[in-house]
Amino acid sequence: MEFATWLSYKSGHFGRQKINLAMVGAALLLASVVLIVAEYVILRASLINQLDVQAKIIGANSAAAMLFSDRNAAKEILNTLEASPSIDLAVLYTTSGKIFVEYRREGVSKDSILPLAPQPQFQRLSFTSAELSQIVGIENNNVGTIYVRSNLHQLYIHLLWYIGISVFVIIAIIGASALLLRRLQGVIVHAEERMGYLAYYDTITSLPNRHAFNERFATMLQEGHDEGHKLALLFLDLDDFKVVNDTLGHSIGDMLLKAVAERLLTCVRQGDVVCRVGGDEFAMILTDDKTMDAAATVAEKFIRALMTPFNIADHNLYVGASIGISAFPQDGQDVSTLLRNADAAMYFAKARGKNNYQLFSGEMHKETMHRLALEGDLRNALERGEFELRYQPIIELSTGRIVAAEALLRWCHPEKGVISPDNFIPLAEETGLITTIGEWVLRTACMDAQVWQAVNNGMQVSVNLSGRQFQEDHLIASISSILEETGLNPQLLTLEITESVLMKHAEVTISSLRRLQEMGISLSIDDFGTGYSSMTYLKRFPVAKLKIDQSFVRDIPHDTDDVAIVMATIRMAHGLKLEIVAEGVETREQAEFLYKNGCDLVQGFLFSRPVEHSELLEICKTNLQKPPYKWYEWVLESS
Amino acid sequence: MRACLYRVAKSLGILSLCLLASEAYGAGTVPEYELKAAYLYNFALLTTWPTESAAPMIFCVLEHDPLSTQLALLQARKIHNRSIIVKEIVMPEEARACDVLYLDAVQHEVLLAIVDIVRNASILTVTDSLDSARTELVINMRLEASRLVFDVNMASARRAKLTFSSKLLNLAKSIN
Repeated sequence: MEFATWLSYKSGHFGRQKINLAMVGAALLLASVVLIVAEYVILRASLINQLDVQAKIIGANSAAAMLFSDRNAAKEILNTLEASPSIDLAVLYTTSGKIFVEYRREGVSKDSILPLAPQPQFQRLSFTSAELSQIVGIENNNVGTIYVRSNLHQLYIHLLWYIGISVFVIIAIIGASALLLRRLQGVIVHAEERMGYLAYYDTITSLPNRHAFNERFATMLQEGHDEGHKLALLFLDLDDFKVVNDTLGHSIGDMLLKAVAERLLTCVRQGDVVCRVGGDEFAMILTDDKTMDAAATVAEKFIRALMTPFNIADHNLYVGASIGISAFPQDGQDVSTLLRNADAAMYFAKARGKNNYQLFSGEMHKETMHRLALEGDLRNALERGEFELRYQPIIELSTGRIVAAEALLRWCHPEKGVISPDNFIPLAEETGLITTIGEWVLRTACMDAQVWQAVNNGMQVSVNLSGRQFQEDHLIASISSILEETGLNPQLLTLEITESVLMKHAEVTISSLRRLQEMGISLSIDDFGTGYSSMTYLKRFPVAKLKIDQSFVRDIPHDTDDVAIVMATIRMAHGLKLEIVAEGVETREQAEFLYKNGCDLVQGFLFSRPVEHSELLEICKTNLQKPPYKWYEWVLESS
Repeated sequence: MRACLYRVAKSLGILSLCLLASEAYGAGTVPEYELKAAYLYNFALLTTWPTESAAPMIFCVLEHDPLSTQLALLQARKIHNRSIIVKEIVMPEEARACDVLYLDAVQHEVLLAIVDIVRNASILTVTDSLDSARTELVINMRLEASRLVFDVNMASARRAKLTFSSKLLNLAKSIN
């Protein structure tokens, strides 16, 4: 339903208004007719009543005159009826039925038949007259009969007035309700327009919304199909918009969206459609037989347009955009296919490092399909028991003892073999599967750690937490319930969080970290040195360990830069009273360097590759059988 | 009877009066006495006496009055729920017991005696001829333009403590 349909709605309303008014009118008319009829009946009854009273008065007054046969006196009394304009005729009869005197209103024709010898008492009512007669007497003496006839002129005049007033009231009421209805109609039409607008437009940016986009795109595709037009669909996703929203608040986020929408509109031509189809997603439909190259030009224009920072509420905000482009007819025939392909292309653009665009290609489709397949497999992996944990020992350099082991997740895919976490963790994070997988890892690691306490009391276990897991509301509750379930002493659990995750959500994280620390859990910063750390946060974070990234360890002691970095890191960690762990230690030189420079803990292939739980237990046993010794002795033994 | 005949002789109008009155009182010609008796009844009907009584109402005429035969017929009717008794009186003193007294052909001395007796009594006195002695009587019937009309003497009525329906007074030819 678009504008045209609303308009026809509108005209329908006015038709309905007329019907409403007609109904009101008919109801009023019916009510009036009933009232008029009732009034007529009442008036007639009251006329008869009046006539009766008048006859009684005249009768009583003229009784004596009749007694004494005084016609003049009787006539005089009858003549008083002139004051009562509705009485046409009054006759007094003697007891023998002869006319004693009669009274005729002026103008009443003589040929009006005088009823001779009426029954002593009767009442008659017709549509033109009311008449009655009654006995005249004094005490119990019957002295004659009085007959009175009244016309109904007064009654009809009265009734006409009544009808006139009714008609006037009906007209007045209909007029007033027409006025009222029209005003009300205005309000309703306005409200419906507003609702229609809300249904089809995004209130923040005033752009058509997803609903409108779907309908319009479908219509345009149909037209394109019929007339052989080409169309291009650009799917634009703002990079890091969520950060703006989270850090500066929704109102700033909304203002930014509005500003973005305005800039986007400057880049398109008449006939092109720009819609906001999601939180930070925009879709553009380019018409006019544009080729894919032209679409790419527009995409570049978009990206360039967004490069200039937005100044909103005294903040200079930078937003990038990743754009995916699909084209009709080659990339799809319907809305959902084209949208999916544009989305896939956008996904690739994002993966390419944001702020760029990608044209959809068949390769992308394949890769997307591959991803989808992998996603499906990932959903089932946990149930099918395809996940395994490996443990890599962490050695204290000063004693050569295994003091901890890092749990590492492996996915043994039935067809594709072992898949590295780097390949499926991002996917798990995207799909939200990370929550269940993360819980499984933690539970399994805690259970295994509880087992190895019997062999090597006090040996810790390190488990990695992904960024997505860290954002979960019930993370703390989940960890404490797993600890309770497995019975593992919280002191023996270390949670490793990468530096980048930690810094990204610094403010939110601190309270969570404190809670974990209060529970007795140690925290370790993983991959230290790869992101950028705020020293302020580092000071405030309740962490116990720093894990220096293997990229720095790889080239020591030959690379002077790495040497400097590692030495500085160790010194800094010690200065902050943090333990320092070096990972990826593969050679004796590296180990020797680290030892000499005061590194506390190491892990790497030099000592042990990640092993299964049972094997870890054996290694621990061997390690414990020896008295305390230097690390190099242990290395010699194991190698 | 003589008086009536005399009046018939005096005026032809009386016949027409009788005819007129007959219209109100049934078919046939109404003789003079019947009409007068009816008038007497009507006067009594429209008069209120100062004391209420359930005893029969006494209509008096002098002995041998030609009206007495017609008047006797009234005894079949009632006034104010009281039955009617018609009495012929011989002695003027008897007049005291009357409620309605009709005085017609009566000797002047007897009339004076009766008037003297009934002057302060609640008696509706009716006559049909005017002479000086009769001016103290309450109602006087007479012929005028061939109609039987009547005058009411309010002074006498007040003395007799009689009140009349306004209808009667409306119909009276003169009130003095």
